[in-house]
Amino acid sequence: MALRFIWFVALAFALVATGTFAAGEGEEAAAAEKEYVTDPSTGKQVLKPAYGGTITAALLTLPFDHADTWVSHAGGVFGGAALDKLGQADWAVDRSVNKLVTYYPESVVTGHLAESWENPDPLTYIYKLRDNVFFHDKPPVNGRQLTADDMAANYERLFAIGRFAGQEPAVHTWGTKGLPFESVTATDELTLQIKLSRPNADTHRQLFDDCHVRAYPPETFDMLGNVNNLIGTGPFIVNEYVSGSSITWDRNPNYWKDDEKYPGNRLPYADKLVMLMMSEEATRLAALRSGQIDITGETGVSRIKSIANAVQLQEDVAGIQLFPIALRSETSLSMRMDKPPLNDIRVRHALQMALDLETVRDNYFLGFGDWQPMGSVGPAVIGYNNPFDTWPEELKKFWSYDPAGAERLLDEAGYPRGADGVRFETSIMTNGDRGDVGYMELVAGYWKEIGVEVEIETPDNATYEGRRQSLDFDGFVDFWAVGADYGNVASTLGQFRDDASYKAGTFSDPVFEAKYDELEAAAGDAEEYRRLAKALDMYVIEQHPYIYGPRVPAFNIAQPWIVGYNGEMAIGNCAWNGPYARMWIDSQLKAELN
Amino acid sequence: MRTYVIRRLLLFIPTLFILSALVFFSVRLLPGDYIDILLSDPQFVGTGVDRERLSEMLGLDVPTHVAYVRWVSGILLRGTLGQSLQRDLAPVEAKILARVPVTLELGAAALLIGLVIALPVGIYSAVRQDTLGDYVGRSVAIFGLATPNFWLGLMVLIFPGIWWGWVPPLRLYPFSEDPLAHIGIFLIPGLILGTYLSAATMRMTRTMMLEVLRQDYVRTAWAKGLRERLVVVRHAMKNALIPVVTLIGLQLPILVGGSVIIETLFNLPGLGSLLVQSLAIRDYPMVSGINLFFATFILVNNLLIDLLYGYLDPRIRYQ
Repeated sequence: MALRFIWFVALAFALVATGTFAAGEGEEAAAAEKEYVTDPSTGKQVLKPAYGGTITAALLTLPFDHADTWVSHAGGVFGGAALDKLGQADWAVDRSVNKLVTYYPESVVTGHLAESWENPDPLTYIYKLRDNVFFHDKPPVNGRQLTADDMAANYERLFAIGRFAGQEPAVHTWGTKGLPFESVTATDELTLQIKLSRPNADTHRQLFDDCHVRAYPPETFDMLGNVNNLIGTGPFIVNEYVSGSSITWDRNPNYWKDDEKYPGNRLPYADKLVMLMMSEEATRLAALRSGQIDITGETGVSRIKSIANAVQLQEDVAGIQLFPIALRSETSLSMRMDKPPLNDIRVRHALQMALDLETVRDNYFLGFGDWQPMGSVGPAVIGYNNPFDTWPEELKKFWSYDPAGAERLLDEAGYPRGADGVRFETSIMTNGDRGDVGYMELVAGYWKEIGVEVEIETPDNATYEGRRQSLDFDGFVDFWAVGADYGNVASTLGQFRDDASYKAGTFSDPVFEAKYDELEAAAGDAEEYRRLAKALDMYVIEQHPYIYGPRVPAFNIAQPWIVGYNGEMAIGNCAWNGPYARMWIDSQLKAELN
Repeated sequence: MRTYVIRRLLLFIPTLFILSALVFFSVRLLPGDYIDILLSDPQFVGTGVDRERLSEMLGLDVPTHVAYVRWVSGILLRGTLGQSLQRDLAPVEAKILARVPVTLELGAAALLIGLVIALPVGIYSAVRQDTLGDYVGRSVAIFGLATPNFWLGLMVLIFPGIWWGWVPPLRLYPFSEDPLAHIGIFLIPGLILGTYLSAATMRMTRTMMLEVLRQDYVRTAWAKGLRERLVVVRHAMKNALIPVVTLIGLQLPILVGGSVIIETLFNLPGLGSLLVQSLAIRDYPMVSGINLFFATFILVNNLLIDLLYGYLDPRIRYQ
């Protein structure tokens, strides 16, 4: 009580001091009676789309001050706001399985800048661009039309081909990295022709939904080191970029696209979009409580990771919209399989069998998340993944809770309990900034029960990455490529290759390499490719190269007055800002609640 | 005096040289580098990334001592701290200068608030020594010294929000757009930093006032029948505050350290938050540049404090 009183006095002081300074947007309350429409993707009644107002969103603080996808994730950070690409995920389909709004089945991916496309032979892809797409009305392009040659220049620049041959390719070329480009050509004003040197089954999806290729006007390639110079064809135009603080966007009055769910409604709905950079989760939660932001989540690369905090927020703030999103398992562990004891598959089985994941999910993760083990290909990658229920019983038992069985396996493997009850000692190095140390302590507790002593190390992110990539650890490290609902299957499974840039511990298996080569060779045959990918995923599961941890969600959170949003993370691969153009504000409700 | 100033300025050269080496090599001794961060997320990378090529592209392929010589040459010959590894157009010094105003405003707010709290309380505690007010003031000071900034900042962000749905402003508006909102965002973080600073200043003020109040000339002032306000303000305070000025100057490094956490928590885009972000991704040129800037700032500050001390107390003469 005394503490509250002290806080009250302090708050009174603060209010007097800052009350008049507090910024307000002054949304006009709509007195008219509300009209509702049916959201075609959810079937729910929602407030009829309305124009106007400002959406204020949290954006994870950008470490860079540029807008160039050539060198960073800028294509994703600004994707969907200022920048468009050939394709995107279909906004109008049901998102109950995949909030990522991307990838599979292929039918989810649809044309965006591309109006139509054809694949006349396995090596040729032809895209016809829309004829009503214009760049933002800013110098040096001043609102000119987007052409096929603009897109060709962007591809050539990123992959150092054509007119950019001999120059450095982009630092990040994930997604289309595996595409064997021969040429990218504009055959006329609006027709883009891409030729490959060999067939690739995933080409169309990769070209459509890449994380980095965006429609920048080539005239601005040398100006992208300053975000204020960013020009694209997207629904929002940069008004002001304040380094480390905010990006203010204005509605693009000349945007070319209607809402996919409500044809006839030209996007975007909001007049302004303000992104406030907030690196601390506590700051984002505070801003949500006080209504200083309307939304935080993957749309701004600013998910709320703490389940307890998200649940508490829902209890405290009436009507706040909480959307749990699981992108992948971020609690799984890869390991040093190149030396004892983890080079013995019986030991790996035993350590998995010692974990009661269902209990952990129900208690530690408050009932959120998927506790049943899964392969590296996630459940939303429909047709390519291997659900646990379909695994052979002989395999399932090594991935199910059975501490007595775990002890038997360790005895068999030659690791009996010593006089002190300890079989062997190992370590878990978890990312001190991003890992879940609490969960790792639970794992250590379970393993202690079967006689395995664990030391937990928690270095900061950069130190962790340096040590992980140079194999400067003895036992386990976090493994964030299990149950992955993003990327193409080849990339996901490619994490187990010997030359993977994100290496899965020290997994190295010539059989896997051969099977992976076989998968790549089958790229021209979609059905065979799918079959081989699924089989390869199962092969990895059989080798048990990681200890599965629950695939736990983080949260996208929106204020009660945000309408038209169902928790989507993006509108396709790395088009994180896309949903902002497609949500609107219930200004009457906002006025009532503020 | 002139000789003293010149000597101090000349001493800057070796000091800055040693500092530059320290700030440059220390960050590179840390495990992990920028490429490790680039390749840290399976969502964005694939197979066959040529790490050596990346190192070459980013200039990380040369030995550290060669990189140091290049960096120092850049400063001396071209007046630049180099380019961020992020490949922004602006050089490091431009990015630093763009963030300086926010850190200065926060520092000024903290100093001002700290003084507004510390001086009256310190003087009151001295004049009313061993009364209830004195005990309360000293207790608050000890509480302020013992409370970490980051903890207080988190509490201010969390509990008022839970109890009353209020949190401090978290958006920095440009001064030209909305001056009041611009100033408003600095008040609470300034109060938190200022509270910490005020604790030490208040204790020093009290101690010095007690000492001065016992001096003969003050007793003479009392004997002349002067009013208390005149004795305290005109005769005692002026002399008592000389060491306090030094203390305030010495508190600037504390402000710099405090700003690192407070800026991050309260969403202030100053040098502190830039340092945190740059360090997290091992952006060596940025980290070295910011640290060198801070070090130079503190060196200059210390010199100015010394000179100001001599100005305030004419008895002090530098040889």
